Amino acid sequence: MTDPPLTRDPRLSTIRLALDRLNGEVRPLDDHGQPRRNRLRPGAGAGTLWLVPAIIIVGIVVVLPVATLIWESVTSGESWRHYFNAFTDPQLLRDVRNTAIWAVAVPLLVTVAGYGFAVLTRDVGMRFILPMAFVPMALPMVVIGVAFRTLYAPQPSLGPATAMAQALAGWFGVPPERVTPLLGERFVTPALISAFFWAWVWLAAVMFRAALDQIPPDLEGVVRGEGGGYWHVLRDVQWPFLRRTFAILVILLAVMASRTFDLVLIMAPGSVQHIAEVLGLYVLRQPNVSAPGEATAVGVVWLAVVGVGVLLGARGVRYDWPAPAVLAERPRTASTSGRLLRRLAFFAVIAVWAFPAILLILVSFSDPIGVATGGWVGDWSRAAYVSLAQSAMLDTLLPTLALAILVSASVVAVASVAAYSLAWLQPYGSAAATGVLLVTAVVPIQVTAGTLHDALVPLDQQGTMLTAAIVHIGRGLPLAILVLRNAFGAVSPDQVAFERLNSRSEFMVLVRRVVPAARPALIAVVALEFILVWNDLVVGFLFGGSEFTPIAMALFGHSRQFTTGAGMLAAGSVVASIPPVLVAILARKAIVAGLISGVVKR
Amino acid sequence: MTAQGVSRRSLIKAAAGLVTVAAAPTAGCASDDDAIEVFVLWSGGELDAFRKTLEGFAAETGRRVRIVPVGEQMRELLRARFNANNPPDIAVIPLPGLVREYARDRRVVELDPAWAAAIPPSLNDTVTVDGRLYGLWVKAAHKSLFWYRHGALREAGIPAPPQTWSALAEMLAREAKAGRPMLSIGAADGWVLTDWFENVLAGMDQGATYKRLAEGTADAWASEVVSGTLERLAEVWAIPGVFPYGAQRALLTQWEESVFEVFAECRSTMVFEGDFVGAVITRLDTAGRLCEQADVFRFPAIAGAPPLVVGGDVAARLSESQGSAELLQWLSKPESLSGWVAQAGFLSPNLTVPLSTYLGRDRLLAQQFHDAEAPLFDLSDQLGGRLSAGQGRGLPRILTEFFREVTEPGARRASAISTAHARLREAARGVAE
Repeated sequence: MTDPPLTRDPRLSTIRLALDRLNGEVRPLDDHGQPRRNRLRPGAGAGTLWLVPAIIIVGIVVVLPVATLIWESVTSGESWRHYFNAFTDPQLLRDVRNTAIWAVAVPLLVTVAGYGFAVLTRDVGMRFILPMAFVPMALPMVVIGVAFRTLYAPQPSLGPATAMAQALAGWFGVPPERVTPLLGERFVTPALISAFFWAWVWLAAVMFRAALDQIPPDLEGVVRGEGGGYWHVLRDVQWPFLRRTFAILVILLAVMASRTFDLVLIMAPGSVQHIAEVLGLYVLRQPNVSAPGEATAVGVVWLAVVGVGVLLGARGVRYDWPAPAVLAERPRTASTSGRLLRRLAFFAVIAVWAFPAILLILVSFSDPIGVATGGWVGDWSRAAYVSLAQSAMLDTLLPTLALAILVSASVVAVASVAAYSLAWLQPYGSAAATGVLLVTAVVPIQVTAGTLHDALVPLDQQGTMLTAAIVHIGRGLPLAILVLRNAFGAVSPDQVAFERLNSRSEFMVLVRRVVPAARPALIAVVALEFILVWNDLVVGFLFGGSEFTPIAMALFGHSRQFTTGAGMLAAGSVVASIPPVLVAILARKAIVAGLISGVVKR
Repeated sequence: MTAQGVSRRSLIKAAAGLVTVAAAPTAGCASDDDAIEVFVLWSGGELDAFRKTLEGFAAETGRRVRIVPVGEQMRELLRARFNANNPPDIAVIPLPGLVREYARDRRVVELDPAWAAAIPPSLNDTVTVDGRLYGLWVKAAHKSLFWYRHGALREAGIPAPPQTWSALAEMLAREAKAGRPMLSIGAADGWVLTDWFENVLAGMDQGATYKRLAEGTADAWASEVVSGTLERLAEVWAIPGVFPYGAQRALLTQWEESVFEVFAECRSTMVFEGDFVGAVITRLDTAGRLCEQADVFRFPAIAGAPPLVVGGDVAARLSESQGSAELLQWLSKPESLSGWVAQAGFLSPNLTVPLSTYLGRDRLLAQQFHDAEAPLFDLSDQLGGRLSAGQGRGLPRILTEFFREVTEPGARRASAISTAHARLREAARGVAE
């Protein structure tokens, strides 16, 4: 049976093409009987249905509040005055400057440093670098804030960094009182940045390593043989391979850096909060009497900048160098003696890098009052853990665990369905999908919190785990769909076609063929979502209530009086760090593979 | 199969997805409606004491109470809850101005005046709107105290604590010059600095300007009394070497830590703050880490009688539930908070609590509270607009900047004072009320 002949009227053929697209192209599968549709490729209509759960959730959690926000800000009376008032407030201008530093300068700094670290540790086995990358990244930001605030504590008896700074100043004859405190006015933002750097730079190094290991070693030899120095190697050989990794990292880090909400809240003492403040906090801190209109105005502009920024950044991810495979080990070729020295240096680096975490553990096993008064070293006791066990903080462990598992499972389920549709079913709107997903992924939650509250009111579940779950799922879906779409799309088309012929439904194709092939990406999504939810402070802060308190909120609540509570805070931090670090270590290979291969633009 | 087959599957899957998301989390979903939810600002020792006290309520009535410490995010969290139409049953708020604001927005349930009959009228007035009472004072704080180490003073050859401000400044300057820093201050917590400001201001003219500022007369901030207050503050704060670790570190020291400096490390001699310092001292004592016994002296006088500034916490009923009414009524009874009184650092605004219930030095403080004709309520807690203290804003922020400016080596005191005064006037222009 052959195809029906095309009519002569071009308009009718357009309609036919559209109908074919909706219902699925007719293709003969064999020579007997009627042509069967939807065996080779289901229609766009069916494909779009697969997107419905994701569209609903992301729509409620992200799109609707954003649209309402923009509408309200533009149509409320005197809206232009709000914009003017907001942007002539010097505190806001300082916040904008800080946010710009966090969103642009810090990701660049960390990415470039990551490249440097990757090159310097070329000869070290990947298995040593992986823990360095995954443990700091998996720690809750709150915990990192506690560790670094302890590290930089102005009391030299508590803060080793201050002790070293004062000792150093002492050599130059400067008395301790004149030494600028590391958390004071001048250095608080660099101190915060150092904490973020500590957490993320080794992940950047690992990703660059994986990319560098893919470069054929001969290429470098060729360039050097022609008289090129390192710069030429970098520009001509490495950069084309590294461009994608560089772009991915900058975007990822920019998104992560916009979550420094937690870090600023915990690490900056009260008297310097206004110096370190970022937009995420400004929006929350407007005094009641000044109109909410100003916060709305700021929110809208912030949204616009972030959205445009991420779209521009995403353009850097499009081009066709092959995706690096997972973590292939490169044969070592450098000279032996240099190698040994580099390895020793690397182990020294590990010791230094582990120091903040070790400090936290040591403080947690010290007498809390000793910690507060400066006599803690050597004054070991379990008192901090005992009072932790008696406090309400441990009650938050199980609910947070339940929430994290629930959200990870839901995100991966809904995202898989949507991602498969975008990858293989050509639904309506798939051309715009990347842009929409990227923008919805970076919407700052503080800005939409108020309107999102109103949207969730009909559920009548304020402050419960369900609300937190919905918000988390809505926020996690966009990136998950992006990663999975590209991972699913990388499955060979022959395999998919083969499975389509042999299965009864498209869903079976997803389950039997695509899921096993894309397993690393799926594991990466589950693991990353678990870690994000466990570590989260913002959603708990804005949407939590008496019914549900995530553990990061409990830690934050205890950081009110930092020095006198540092003992128990350290103990709580150690306990709160165990689950996400475990997950990150167990899934480390999948995470790197997922991040690298999953973000290739097809 | 046919086109319908696949579509149906997709449809079913989509529906299943929705249902799962909506119904999945059963844990934590079954909210028990009969637990009374109470928002409090307290943390640490105060929070523990309140929890223990409410165990008494639970024992008596069998109702469950859930206490939620919200820290400094009280305002934001309440706003979010109001927006979501899910207010807590009761909120214990240290800002009567905020209670009045919520009352005007009709978020607070009116109180039976009989419950507040035993509380000084000047306090009740701060939570009255249009003749209706909207808050129950549950805790009062005597905020005109210096805590000091008697032995240290004696060692320095000082027989008795200073009674006047000039004597205090002179003593501190003399000792600092001799290399003995005597004063600890928790300048990282902006409200500590505002408490200094209020006491000095009240002492300048027996509270006359203070009252005008509290009433919200905007041009009262331009008064010379205000700049005179800043001058007096600079007299003490700017003394070189008066803080044990220097002024830069004092700006990063929180109030509990400043108490530890005096009474756990014995690094300095005195610290100014309210009677709640007593709870910290008791904690140190129980842990056996008190390096010397603590004494108190009244905030020194400036011109006339020494000032008496009080703070406190108001419980406001935010929902119509039966449980909230029961709890509030229970809190209004003098014997309910007796357990807390028995620990140090709690002053009940309820005048029918017998003085004999208070132990030790608390009795002296309670006596001063009972005797005061009209204790001045904490000013910063009454201010609104751009002077009110959101995190890092308002009066505390201006005073923190002032502290920083006058303590810089080589600082020009007069210009710092006029800058701070100008900022105060500027911020006051937006004060509502």
